[in-house]
Amino acid sequence: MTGNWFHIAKAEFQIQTSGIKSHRKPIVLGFFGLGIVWALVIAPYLMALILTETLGIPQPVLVVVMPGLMRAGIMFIWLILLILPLSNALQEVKIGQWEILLSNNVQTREILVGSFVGRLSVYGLYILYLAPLLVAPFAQALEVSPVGQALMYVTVFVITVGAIWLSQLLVTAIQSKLGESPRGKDLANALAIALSFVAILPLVGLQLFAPLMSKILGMDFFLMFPFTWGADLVTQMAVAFNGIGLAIGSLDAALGFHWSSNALLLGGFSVALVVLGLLSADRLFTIRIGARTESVTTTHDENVALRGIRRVVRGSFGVLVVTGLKDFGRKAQNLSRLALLMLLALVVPIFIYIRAGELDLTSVNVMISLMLGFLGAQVFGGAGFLESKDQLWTIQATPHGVRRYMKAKIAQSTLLIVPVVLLPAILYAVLLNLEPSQVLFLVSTSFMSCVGGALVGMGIAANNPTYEDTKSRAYTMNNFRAMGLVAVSFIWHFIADMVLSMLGFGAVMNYIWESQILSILAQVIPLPIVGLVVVLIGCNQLSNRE
Amino acid sequence: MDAENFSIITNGLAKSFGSVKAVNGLNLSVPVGTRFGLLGPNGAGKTTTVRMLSGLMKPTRGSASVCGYDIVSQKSDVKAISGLLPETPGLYSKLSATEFLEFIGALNRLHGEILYERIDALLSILGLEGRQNDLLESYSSGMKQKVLIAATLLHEPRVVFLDEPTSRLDPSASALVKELILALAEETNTTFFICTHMTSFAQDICDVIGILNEGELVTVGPPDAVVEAANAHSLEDAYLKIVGGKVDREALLAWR
Repeated sequence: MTGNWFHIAKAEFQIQTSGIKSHRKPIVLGFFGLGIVWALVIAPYLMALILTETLGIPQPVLVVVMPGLMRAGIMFIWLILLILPLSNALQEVKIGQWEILLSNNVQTREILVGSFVGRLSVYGLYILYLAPLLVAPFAQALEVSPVGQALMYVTVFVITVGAIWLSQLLVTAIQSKLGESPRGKDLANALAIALSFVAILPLVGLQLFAPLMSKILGMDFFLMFPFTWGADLVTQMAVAFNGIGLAIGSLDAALGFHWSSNALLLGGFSVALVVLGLLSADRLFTIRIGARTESVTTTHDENVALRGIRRVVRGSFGVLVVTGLKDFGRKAQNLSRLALLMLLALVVPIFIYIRAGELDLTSVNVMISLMLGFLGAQVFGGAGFLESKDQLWTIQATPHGVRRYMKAKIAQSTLLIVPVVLLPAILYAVLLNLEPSQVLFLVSTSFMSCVGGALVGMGIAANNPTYEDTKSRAYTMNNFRAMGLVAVSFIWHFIADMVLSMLGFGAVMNYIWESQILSILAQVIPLPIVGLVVVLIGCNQLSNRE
Repeated sequence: MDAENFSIITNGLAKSFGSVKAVNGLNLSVPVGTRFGLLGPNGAGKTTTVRMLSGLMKPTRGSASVCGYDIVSQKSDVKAISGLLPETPGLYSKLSATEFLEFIGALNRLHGEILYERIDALLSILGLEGRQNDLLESYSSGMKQKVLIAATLLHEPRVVFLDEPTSRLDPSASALVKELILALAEETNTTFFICTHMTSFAQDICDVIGILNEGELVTVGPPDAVVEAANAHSLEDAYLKIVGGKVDREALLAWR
């Protein structure tokens, strides 16, 4: 390598810290300085205070739960460091940048190393602030010596740096392969959405299935993963250098491997990763596909559903609805988002059941409606709403184009929502042994919520279109607003209850709460109303000229 | 001046973005069936002018009409009788050429046999008949531009605004578009308002040229008259004399 990696690392660092570009160096150095103070002084003191003083957890309990918690914590950090950069990087497949770099005689391994080093400076900060939260409580409880603490931090550092390297290697491999394909950007976006959900699953799992998770984490199966070797090694370091007289002998049998085996496995895995990355990098990227030779997707005859829609919705409006449906259905990211959110709509009430031990129609109905409201806002608003500003110009350049486009979007969303709401309804109809009338009620309320969420999502996207830019602040704000509006629509009854009580009409709300149907409707109906208002405002705003 | 004979009339048309005057006091009269070429450097205000005239952007000052319709109060009528080819393609990557044109036709309230006949005819003229069912994401930039040209002409507009129509086309496709513009202007009396950087393209097909610089129309007239008035030997030479940008060879190599 000729040092090109350094220039790439510098550029990557500048990209990562672009938000603070005027004071980049002092701010990053300041954060590192503060991080060291945090790791060595503040975190140990704070964690000891919280665990033993505030929460009153006895020291022996901390010692007992340490191996399990360390495994869970390290696994969580490892997955986050592996998946989040991957998910972020997949949102932009920059094949043009690759071509520029490669045409300047840069090797793929230099891109890999440069991007890794550039990112390490920023992700290193995360490690610096997160690792002490995990290490400090046990170092305090076991009164680990400074040498032992240093070894614990070194182990965490090796695990996390390994995860970042692996993530970078996967990003490079996936980007180079997806970049070749005309569908690359679309597939990458779909993958990014899927991965971000994978990243939060352990957290959800830890929350909802804590006993089950700890059981699984204790199984030998997890001894196959590098985060387990690292977590066990941290535990073994803490015990080996403890100041309270614990013997390390029995620990190895409980954890599975001797500390030297864990050290060897972790070290070997890290070295193998580095070697694998450096050796394979230059084989990953080859420019070979041109406009004439790449694979082309050709459309075929319309399916029965689309032909049916054309028959029912005749004229130019029907054409708008059908082309909109085709465009939506062919984007992998839309389908990915739809599938994942639907999965959540199906499993969240079951999670709640496992946690709370009850599954009645009211809670299931409200929970599904809320999830489907979120689903509507996420899937039909956001990035899938409009691809580019130029597309908007094209629509605006036609008479009443925006209004007709919005109406067609609402129609197509409504059509797509029908099968979406049927699935959870059927599942719970079977699980709860519901009457046909109850199923109909469940389907109707779910449908209203999902359409309401879709109206909110589309209205907000129309009010402030962010096109396909999923990294902008505006996109984040839009998402935040949409999710916030859906959530607030479902809890408005608290406010109504309070206001009516203050006005002396408390009996009205009491009457509503006494009826199962009315209480569900009271929580579900506001969302479509809010959605209608938001979509009208958005449509008006989108029609406005600059 | 009989307004009926003019497709576009502007009176002191201006657009500002904050303190930047993108277009400043534009006075133009473009007769029906004219092929008007608006030349100017990057950032001169050509795209802003087209966006105002096609009803997409509200002027800060002044007024304008397209085929007698006021661009502010009758913007829907303006959109119905005009077609716009934007500078950068805003295509739907997941639709095929036929489906995209179907979508644009539907936005212009076209449907049924007449729409599909026009789509087939336009795609055939533009040499895309073999690829009409392929998704647009696999099209080259030239092919995308052809689809956009078809989308602009699909509803048979009386006035066509073209923003850099040939910038992404190869010479043969460019020649085809030139012929299409000439044929439509001569046979159907369609007015073309073309923004371009390409002086040779403008000289070949435009019967009136306007040069816009820093938001102001600095010269207007037939290409030959513009060349003569600037005491130049070609339109490019005249353009460089008017706008500035004569190349100094020594300065070009000064960086070495």
